[in-house]
Amino acid sequence: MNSTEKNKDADMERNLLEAFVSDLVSSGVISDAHQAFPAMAPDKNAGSYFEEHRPLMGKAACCSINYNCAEDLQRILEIYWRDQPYMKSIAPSIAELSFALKSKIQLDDDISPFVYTL
Amino acid sequence: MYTLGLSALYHDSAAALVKNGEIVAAVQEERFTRKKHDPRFPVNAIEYCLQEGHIEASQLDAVIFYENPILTIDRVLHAGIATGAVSSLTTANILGSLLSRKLWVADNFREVFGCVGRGDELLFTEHHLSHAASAFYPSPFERAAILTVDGVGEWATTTIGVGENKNIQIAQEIRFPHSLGMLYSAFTMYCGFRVNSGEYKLMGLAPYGRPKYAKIIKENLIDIKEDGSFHLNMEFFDYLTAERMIGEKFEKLFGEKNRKPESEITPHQMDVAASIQKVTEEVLLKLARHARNMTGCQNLVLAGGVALNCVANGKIMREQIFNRMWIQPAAGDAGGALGAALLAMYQHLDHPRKTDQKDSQKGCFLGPAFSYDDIQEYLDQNNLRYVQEENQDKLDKLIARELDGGMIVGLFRGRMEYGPRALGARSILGDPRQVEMQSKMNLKIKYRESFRPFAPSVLMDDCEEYFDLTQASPYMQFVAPVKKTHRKPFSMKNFCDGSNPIIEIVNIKRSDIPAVTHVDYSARIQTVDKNRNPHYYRIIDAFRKRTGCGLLVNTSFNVRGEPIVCTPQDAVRCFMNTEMDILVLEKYVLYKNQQLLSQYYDDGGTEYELD
Repeated sequence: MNSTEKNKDADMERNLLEAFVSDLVSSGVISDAHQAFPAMAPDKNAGSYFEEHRPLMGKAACCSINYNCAEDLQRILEIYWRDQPYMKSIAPSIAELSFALKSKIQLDDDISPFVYTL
Repeated sequence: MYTLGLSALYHDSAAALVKNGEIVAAVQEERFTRKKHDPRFPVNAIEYCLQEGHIEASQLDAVIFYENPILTIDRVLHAGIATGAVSSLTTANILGSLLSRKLWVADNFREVFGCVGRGDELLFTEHHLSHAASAFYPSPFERAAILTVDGVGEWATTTIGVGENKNIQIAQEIRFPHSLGMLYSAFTMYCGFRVNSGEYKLMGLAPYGRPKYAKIIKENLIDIKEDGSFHLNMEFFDYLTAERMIGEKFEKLFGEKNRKPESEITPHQMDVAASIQKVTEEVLLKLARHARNMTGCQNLVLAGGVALNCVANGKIMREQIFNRMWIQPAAGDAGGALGAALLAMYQHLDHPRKTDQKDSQKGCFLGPAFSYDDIQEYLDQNNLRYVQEENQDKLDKLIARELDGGMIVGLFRGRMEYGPRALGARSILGDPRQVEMQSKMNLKIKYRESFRPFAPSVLMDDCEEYFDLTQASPYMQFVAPVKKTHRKPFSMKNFCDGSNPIIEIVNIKRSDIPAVTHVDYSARIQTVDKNRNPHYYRIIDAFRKRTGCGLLVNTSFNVRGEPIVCTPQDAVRCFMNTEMDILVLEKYVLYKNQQLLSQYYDDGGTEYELD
């Protein structure tokens, strides 16, 4: 891929993601979602930080996740987020964005050391 | 029945093929592309696995990806939202990559190979379950406690579970952002090494320092409970909100800014390295004890990137918390491919599991080998001068003689290793008795930092003569002390003021096997037995018969920044571009001083980025 094509992809990505983030902010997801994230600081009074392992997508060790269109992916995300209405509300945006970005963004030759956070 | 496991789009992409419970092939993508830690979809690795198995993609009964991208998206979004970084470029970049690549592995596979196995569908599992499977299934145990520790998978960063026959149950976990792997990586970066590849350098630096910051770390950065569970204080870390591990608050805590890469290493970094190593060991020991108490198992298996910390592994072993231990040699994400393949075999396809008391990981020799014809054709085409030694015994003696003479020998034999360690198939060998061998190999062959120690390959029968290690370590996963009878007087206390350059310290003889004795008398040991690698065993045995010394320096066949060599071409390129003296490619022996450099056609080797 040449640099012109890379720049076009980068612009498209930025536009799509900005639109997505703007939706997130306006939908109230941000204010609701804090409760679902682990605490950011130690708790000296806690006896243990272990949590019980919960298989997050069914009891089977292996599962198939099939999505041939954005609606399929939306359904999967809505099922996964069924107990988190704020996240469920953004499932359509995520699904649409995923299909729009599908394989469009080339993985950089320069591998960021922070790729582990992906 | 065939299952193919894939890991990709994170770091260390890999593929692994399992047939009826037997591991047929496993290999990292980086070995083919020559890009270290290559994260891309592992086309070449998959291609190799299918070739080795003599099958087409349509004959695969299951193709499985080692983690679940839906769960990762969930974690990234929650992290971005919780920290207020959702509108940052960092989160946008990460999310963009996830949504554009990680969700489409099935499509990538189909595009290249026509179908995703017999059923044309891709299976998914969970990241730490892949690690757990990679640790348990190849082990010789019917039942074992399973401990997995890494940077992060989807949500889990640490898990404890039990494996029994073919069932794996994960019981407890610690969740992101609280991660021992991230903590260690933060210090890796602080000491000026590269995250996700420099962690073992930090481990190697630790013995040069004193753990004087361990208390500060425990008071400020990590709270560790008696059961080994922990939480980090995220005020000091930036990896949730920015593309860096640490912020100013972290640097202020230690009184110095982070070291710039390639700049001089000072006593401060040595002390910091010693401190985080001590804290990491404390966590791992507590986790191991908790796993024992919780499960009642007598055996322990380990995986996840933190299980590559072989200093900590050695301490767990010496504490005798468990009767026996087995650690997945490809403990990082590359091993997830193998774990996923085995999980699909035993749990999805319900194949029975038979434990192999010998070695179901086959010595880790799971990559490609090359024929005599392929090798000779390449040598002739490139005007390289060589001799052929058909007689195995004579070849072993030749290698032993040259090593005894101080030569550095590149060894390329048989199938390539899987995982980060060279185990005698793609190794550079030297005489461990020569004090200058460590600096010579570091500076003239590997072109790497001079403080870094080398590892010994020792005949299993001779291990207890040289080291305080009573169990086999065929995959170089345990660090143990050199026996007192082989040590010379030496103390790092004499050098703590930092006035001596590291190279001076390194060149002081610490034992009668100085090239593999670290400054604290430790060594990262590979025990070699006849079953796993008969060729390599014979070479070391020939060296012992000649010199009385039953071990060799073994370092991986590559220069710094380069993946371990895969093909004869890679090996020759490395040989010709370093000061290696001799190259042995199967039965072909090349001497550097016989090569006409002007006649050698360099077929365009890559410039490697420093790691």
